[in-house]
Order: sequence, then C-alpha cells, then structure tokens
Amino acid sequence: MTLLEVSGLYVSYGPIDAVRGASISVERGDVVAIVGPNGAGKSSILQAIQGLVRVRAGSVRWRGTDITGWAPERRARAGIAFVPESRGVFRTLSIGENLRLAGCALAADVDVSERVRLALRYFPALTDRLSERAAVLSGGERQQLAIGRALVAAPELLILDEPSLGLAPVVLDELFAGLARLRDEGWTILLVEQNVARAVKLADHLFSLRGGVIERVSDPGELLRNPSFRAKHLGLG
Amino acid sequence: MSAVAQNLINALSLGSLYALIALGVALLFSIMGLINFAHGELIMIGGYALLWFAGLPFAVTAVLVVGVVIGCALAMERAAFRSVRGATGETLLMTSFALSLLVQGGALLFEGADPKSVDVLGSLGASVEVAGVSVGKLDIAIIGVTAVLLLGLAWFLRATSLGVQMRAAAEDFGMARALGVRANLVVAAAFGMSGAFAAIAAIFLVASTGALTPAMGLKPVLVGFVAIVLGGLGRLWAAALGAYVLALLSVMLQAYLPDGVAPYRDALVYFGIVVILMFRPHGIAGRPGAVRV
Repeated sequence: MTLLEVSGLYVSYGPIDAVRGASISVERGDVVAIVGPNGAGKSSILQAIQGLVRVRAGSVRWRGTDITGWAPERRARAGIAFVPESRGVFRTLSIGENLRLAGCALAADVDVSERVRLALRYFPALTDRLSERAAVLSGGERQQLAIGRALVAAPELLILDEPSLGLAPVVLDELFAGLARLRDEGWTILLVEQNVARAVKLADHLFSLRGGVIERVSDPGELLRNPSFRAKHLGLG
Repeated sequence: MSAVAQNLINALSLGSLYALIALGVALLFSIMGLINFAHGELIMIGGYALLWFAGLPFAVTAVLVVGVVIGCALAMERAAFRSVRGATGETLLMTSFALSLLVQGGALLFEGADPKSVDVLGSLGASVEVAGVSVGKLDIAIIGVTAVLLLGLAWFLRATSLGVQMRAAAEDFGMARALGVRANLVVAAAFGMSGAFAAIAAIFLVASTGALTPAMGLKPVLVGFVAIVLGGLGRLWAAALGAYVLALLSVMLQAYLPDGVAPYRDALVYFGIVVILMFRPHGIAGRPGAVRV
C-alpha cells in the first residue's frame, strides 16, 4: 500500500528553487533514503511533507488523500512524525515533557504514559532521566530523545532529517543499529542522509537528489560501486 | 526604616500592576513573536466594562469584565491576527498598531472623548497599620492577587498539558505543530490569558485612578513593553522581574530625588534602563541569542 506519494514538488525560497519537480513514493514497511550533497534540497522535501514550508507546485498525498494544504499538526495526527536535522528537542522542557508532547498527535483516549513507556524500550538510558531538562543532553542523547518522542505517536511514517549529523562515530553505530531494528520491526521510515554508505545499507529504496532534481536509484549496491557516484557523493576516488 | 518599608510596599504594589500588564503582552510575544500594541485597548475596554457593569456586586462585575475582555482578545485574534500568523514581526506590529487605533476610534465614537469616572473597589480606599507601616488595602489586594496569578500561571505552564504545549510553542512553534500541538488552540489560549491579565490590570488601574478615557491603555502598555525589554524578551518570569525592577526604580527615585530634580524622575528612570541595557542588551534575565534590544 502506498502511504506517501509526492508528485512534481517545487519548493522555493524567494527566487531560488530548492526543489524542482521532485517525486517520491513510500510504501508501508519500506525504508526510503534520499541522498545528495549539501544544499541539494533534501531537507526542503521533508519539510514540505510535514507542512513546515510552503509548496509552490506539486502535491503531497497521504494514503491517497491530497494533504498539500494541511497544517503540520493535522499531518502529525494523521500519522506522520518528523525528526528535523536540529532534532527539534525543546530545551526548556524536561525529557518527560518532551516525550509526552508527542501525545498531542494521538486520540484523546490513548494512554500517553503507556506509549512513552513503549517508546523508551528503544532508548532505555532515558528512562531514569525523565525529570531532567532536555538542555543537559548530549548530541547523541538528544537524537535518541527526538526519535523516541516521534515513536510515542506510533506514527505510520517516521521522517528523519540527517539523523547522523554531528554525531561521533560510536554514537553513529548505535543510531544505525537502532534504525535497523525499527526497520526489521516493520516501521516505515523516510530519511535524508549525507552518509551514503550507511543509508544504502539501511534503505530498501534510494533516491538521489542533486540541484533540486530527484532520481530514483534502482540498485543502491551498484551505486556504491559506481566510481563517479563515489567520487561525487562520498569524496572517494 | 518605616519610610523605606513604605516605599518598598509602594514599589511592590506598582510592580504588581506593571507585572500584570507586562505578562499579558509577554505571553503573546513568547508564542507568536507578536508585540501587541492593542493590549492597551484591552485594558481600556476592561475599564469601560467596569462602568457598564457598575452597580452589580463587585464579584459579578469582575467576572463579567474579565469575560468581556477575554472575548475581545479572542475576537482580536480571530479577526486581525490569525490571517497574519507567521508573518514578519514588522507586519504583526503594524497590524497591532492598526487594531489599536481602530479600537480607540470605536471607543471615541461610542464613549466620547471626555473622561468618565467610575468607583471601583472604593471599600479598599482605607489603609491598615502593619508593623508601624501604613499599607493601603488596595495595595494589599493588588500585591496578593498578582502573586496568586503569577503562581497560578507558573503552575498552569508546568502542570497542565496545555501549559506544556504553550511552553513548547514558545520555544519552537513549527516543531510543536509538527508534533501535533494545535496552533489555533495554543494561540487562542495565549490570547485568552492575555485578555484575563488585561482585565485584572484594568480593574486595579481604574481602582487606583478612577478615570476612563479612550486612550487610557496607551501609557500602561508602554510601561509593560519597557518592563519586558528590561527583564529580557522571551521569558515570562523575566517580564515580571522587569516590571518589579522598573517599579522599584520609579518609586525610589520619586522618594529620594531632591525636589529640584524630582520632575525629571521619568527621564532618570529611562536613563537607568538605558544604562542597564548597555551592560545587558538581552535584558536583566534575557538569554543571549534571544532578541537583542
């Protein structure tokens, strides 16, 4: 079943087109990665899907319904969870408050505490720190909180913008092990990632974005072996 | 000693009134980035509402006044500010100026330009002796009610789901919405609370002065802005702190300036604020990286 379908998407900042006619689809249970160099417009696509930037042309369809004009909170309630590049952790709120906030996307009769408990299974280190301010967390812990918070809403689609950005290599290993676990459990994930090698290993489908134009990569493994792609995206000769 | 205590109580009372006004403005600024000049008109509407409902038992009048002003604040949000939500600070500021002039014009039309008077809380006109210091009953009421409201606001923001949503929206509105926080609910709550603070400030303001004019909200709202800037933009408790510091400066200069210099009190107060902001451009308790003055 196609959960998300982005067609002919244009996102502009003033006179500059950041995304030019991008189309992507995400099936339930898929892990889809968008790779590409800095400034290629990757984050703009994700923000357009979550309703955080204005779409100039094109459409975003969610389970067959056109949601292009929907407010971000309506998309969250419909089952889309977004973890931005900045992590979007509220520094002035406690860790517990950050987690419970995601309960806003849930129906009123859902037990948010239970959902928080379930999400914390993935990040047990946060369990004893719920009353601490989120401002005290390290970069890796902040990423854990951001992803854990997204899971509280039990989203049908988890969107991650550059999850590896700014993380130490050892933390990166943990993060991608965690994402692989989510994939294996059947979560649907759409991520933007600069670390192409990691993205290729994790994703079922890969899209490459350059200069705002997107292309589907039919064989990610082949891509990694392709010398010109390695040179362009990985800086490897 | 008793003179110092007397002045401190005066400063506390004036600071409480300033804090009510400053918090009403700061609530909207922290969530929407809106500097609402029309907040003064909410205070003005509260003042005239006291006249409209005069003669009823005070508790009933107070509830009606608070209700009317909250209703007006929500109407302002719906009619004027919702369509410019997310616009630049300049657009929001201009919208609030326009709304302020419009509402003042309406008051001129319906209530006239001549000052009116109304007796509110006249029973609190007397003073009581506390440890050798004469304290006005109205001052006690202002200080007490403000303290309860500040504690209530702090509790609301910490302990309720809507309060936590408002704090999150104040930090990053877009991210809060991406998590499912309803923008309309949070903004309406902020306007409603801002209206409640304006109404209560109006009751105490009119109880102190007794006078009503269409432009009566202008000076209080300017004082509220100064208090927010002095305390530090972006933090609610800093706005209250700024209000009390501003009142302390004002009362102490009034009390201790030599007679020849006393007429320049306000100039000296604002000079003092400029000096403070030179050393702390984010305000006394403002965060570096937040809005600079």
